[in-house]
Amino acid sequence: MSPGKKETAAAERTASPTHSEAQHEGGRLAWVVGLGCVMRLGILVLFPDIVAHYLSDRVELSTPVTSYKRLREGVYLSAHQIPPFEGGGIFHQSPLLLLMFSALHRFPEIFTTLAYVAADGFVAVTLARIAALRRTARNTSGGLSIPGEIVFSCTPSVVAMLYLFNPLTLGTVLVKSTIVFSHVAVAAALYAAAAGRSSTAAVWTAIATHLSVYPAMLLAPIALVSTAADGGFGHLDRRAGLAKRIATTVAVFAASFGAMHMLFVACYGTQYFTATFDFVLRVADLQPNVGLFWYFFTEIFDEFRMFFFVVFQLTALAFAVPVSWRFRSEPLFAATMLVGIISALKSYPSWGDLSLFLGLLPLFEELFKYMQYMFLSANLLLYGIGLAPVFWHLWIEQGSGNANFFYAATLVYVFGQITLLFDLGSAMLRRELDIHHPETRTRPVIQD
Amino acid sequence: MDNQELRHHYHLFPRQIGEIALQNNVEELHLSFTQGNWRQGSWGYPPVSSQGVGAEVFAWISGATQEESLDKWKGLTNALSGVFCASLNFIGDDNTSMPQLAFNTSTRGKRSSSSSSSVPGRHGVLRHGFLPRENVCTENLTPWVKQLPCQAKSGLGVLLNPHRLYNMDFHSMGISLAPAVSAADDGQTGLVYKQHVTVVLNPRTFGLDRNWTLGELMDRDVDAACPVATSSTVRVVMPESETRVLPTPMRKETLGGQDTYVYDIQKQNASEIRFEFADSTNKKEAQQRLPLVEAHRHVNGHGGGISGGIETLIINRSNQPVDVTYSDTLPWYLRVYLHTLAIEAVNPDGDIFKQHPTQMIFTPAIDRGRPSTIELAVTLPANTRTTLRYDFDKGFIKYTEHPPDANRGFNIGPAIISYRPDTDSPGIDQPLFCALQSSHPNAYFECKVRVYTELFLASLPTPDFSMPYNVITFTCTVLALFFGRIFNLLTRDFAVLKGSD
Repeated sequence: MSPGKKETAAAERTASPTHSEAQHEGGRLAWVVGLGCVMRLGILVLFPDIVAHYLSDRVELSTPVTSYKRLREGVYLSAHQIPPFEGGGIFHQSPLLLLMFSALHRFPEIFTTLAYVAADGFVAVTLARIAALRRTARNTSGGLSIPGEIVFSCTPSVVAMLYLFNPLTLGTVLVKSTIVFSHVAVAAALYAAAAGRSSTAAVWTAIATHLSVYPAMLLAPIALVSTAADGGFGHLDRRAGLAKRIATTVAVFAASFGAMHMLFVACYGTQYFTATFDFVLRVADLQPNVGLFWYFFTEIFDEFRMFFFVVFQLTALAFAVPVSWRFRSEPLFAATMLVGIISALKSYPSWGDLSLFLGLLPLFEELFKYMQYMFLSANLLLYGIGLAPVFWHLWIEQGSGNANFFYAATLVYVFGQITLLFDLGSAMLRRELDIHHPETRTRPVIQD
Repeated sequence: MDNQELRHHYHLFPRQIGEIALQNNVEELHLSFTQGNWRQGSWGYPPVSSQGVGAEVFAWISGATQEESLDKWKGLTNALSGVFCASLNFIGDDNTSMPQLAFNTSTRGKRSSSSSSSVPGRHGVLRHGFLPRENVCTENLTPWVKQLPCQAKSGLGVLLNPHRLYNMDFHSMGISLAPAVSAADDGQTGLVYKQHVTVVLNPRTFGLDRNWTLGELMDRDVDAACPVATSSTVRVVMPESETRVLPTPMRKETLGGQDTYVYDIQKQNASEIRFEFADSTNKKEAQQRLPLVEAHRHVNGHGGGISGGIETLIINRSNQPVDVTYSDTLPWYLRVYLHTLAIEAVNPDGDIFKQHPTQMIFTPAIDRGRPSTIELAVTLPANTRTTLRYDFDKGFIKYTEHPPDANRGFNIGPAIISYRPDTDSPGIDQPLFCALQSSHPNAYFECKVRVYTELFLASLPTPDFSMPYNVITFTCTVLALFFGRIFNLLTRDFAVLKGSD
């Protein structure tokens, strides 16, 4: 594979953006985010019936751990002194959300809508700022670019636009799925890591772990980022004391996680832990979603249930450290890979998880020329996303199809994500090779 | 009830029931088997208050700890299942509820006038189990009849002809065991055992028209009363229209505002009681005879097919507000959203009033552990139709948890609406079964009418039962592809292909 053949001869862009360009960029970003937020507000305020009728019951968008209807039920139960986590029947979301929405529900409905729109806007702005940081770092440091390469750096406003106007993101915020708040925490953690503040990132990761269990994996790349004052963007700091820095980050994570745990135990008792963490790991509710777990655990025999829980969850969680170590030269990329792995293999995924992964992809647009399977993964994802609602309708509402149709669509969807992940990873490896040995750019290589 | 205090009258009291009750610490027990729909709008109050289709058991069981009383409950249901040849052993954790409002749960005052005697307090815990899919047939009747002292050999038990009893519009039979104070006012406490059977027959089914005897209706001849019975009577409640009942009764009584004829079977022959209905059959029921409250329940489907709503219509016919308690038990796989509860009352003019329950007790479900129970105390305004609705989501259950005929779905038991008719008000009569009870003292009896709604079928979406192995292999293949590719990524290095320059 030789990307050199794909390039056209042109001058390379060298200088970092000038001050007026940066202002321009800021203005564009404000426009994009403003437009996105206004659009969301508009649809939620003007067309609530259409949203409620077509979108709110979609299992592809809301899962038992992110459903807004269940959140309202939890708030109602706790307001009426019925323990919301008892029995683990209906409410499985974090007490953090319970506290937040118990407060929010004292105000009119519009405030809840504004909270969701603001969360989405925050994620978009944070992604844009990460993109700006990365662009600055790439143009100043030598570790990220290859001499003679055309760099079409993805401008921050384009990153924000691609996230905000992605129909998956839009659908997720319209049904008020609470995965949005998990994205807020994950995005904030990644920004803090990109800026070199690994302790802040660890605290945000602890919050994200409480909101949806899997971001705990992101601790691995975050522990590896540089805290160097020279602004080395998310690079592995090869100074001495790496082990000490990793230990510090892990300790901060554990401390903030433990502090929040103590707070929740004080409010709601230890039942919340069974209802949230244990529930997610055990896949107790077999409601269909766009993941692999539900149908598998519907059909598996009881004797093997425990074994396969362990296998599935290990497959998802065990790659945190290996992936981070392999891509330690750019921990932000490792974090993106992990976000993708979470999106594909978590126990209750939704299209919202994919939207965060797709939102992080444009940050690495220099990898796109190395990727070989873009057409395949794009098609797989489109088929999976497009056919899932159709097959759901055939199975549940019309009764002429059966569960296998929907299951097949989810298989295709997950396989598309896996292909995209693999493609991205091998593109990064190829690029690393090119960075370290620029002479191989035009020569075919193999993996051994 | 203490063992030592209980006097054993096992020559009349069925020994099986007595021993089951003693062994399982039963303070009060009610069991009934019902089949058919009780037409609340035409047939009035049912004679004994249980019209939920299926098998219903509820009992107050005392025990030192929660686990002990739960064990005794399971022992009780299993023992009753054996005695009555019914599948009561299926009453387990996932269909037992502990209602607090629907049944008489508080310790009632003494029935006797003497202030020195006292009724022992009821300390036990009420457990209620319902099997909506249970069928009733001769197999259940035979052991029921066996508990009678004279069985089907003499006395009124002879009339229980299964060919006639099960060719019916409605049938309910059961037993009840309740603590009582002896009528002799000496303060002796004991357990009163009653067996009841309620059946609605249409004489035209058997080729009879307007002129028939009880013996012709049941196709049995009662020769003599049961020799060990202290008294054996037939009470005929006279209908509104012109009807002649022959022969002349031993005495006439008025109970609950209705005329009744009482026949003494020890002196007269029961099968010779003749009914002659007038030509003009007046179908209009007196408004007083209809129950004050009528209830119907159905399921709404809305949304994407996995969500639904339960809507109960409660009609208050009286001119006064009535306080009712609504009690509904749903299995764990129907996930109830209590925040969607809405109660609206509509009066004949069309005005709509939003109601709020005066009391709400909600026990959330535990997956595969316990059903969810909703109990509400609502005041129905006078002369209104009240709609009570809330949403639920259908859960997805494991492959092995679906019943053999998976697409039929699950029968969901009835909701119970209970109330006390305000008999002090003019124009409201006591229901007959309350009036009858006051002549046989039960320590905790108070006239509480229970209205049972209809059942419904919850049809859960099914997975494909034919391919568990295929599912396992497909999913594991995708997972293996992921693992293999990422593993390759992590462990392999690039090398330049030699000789390609």
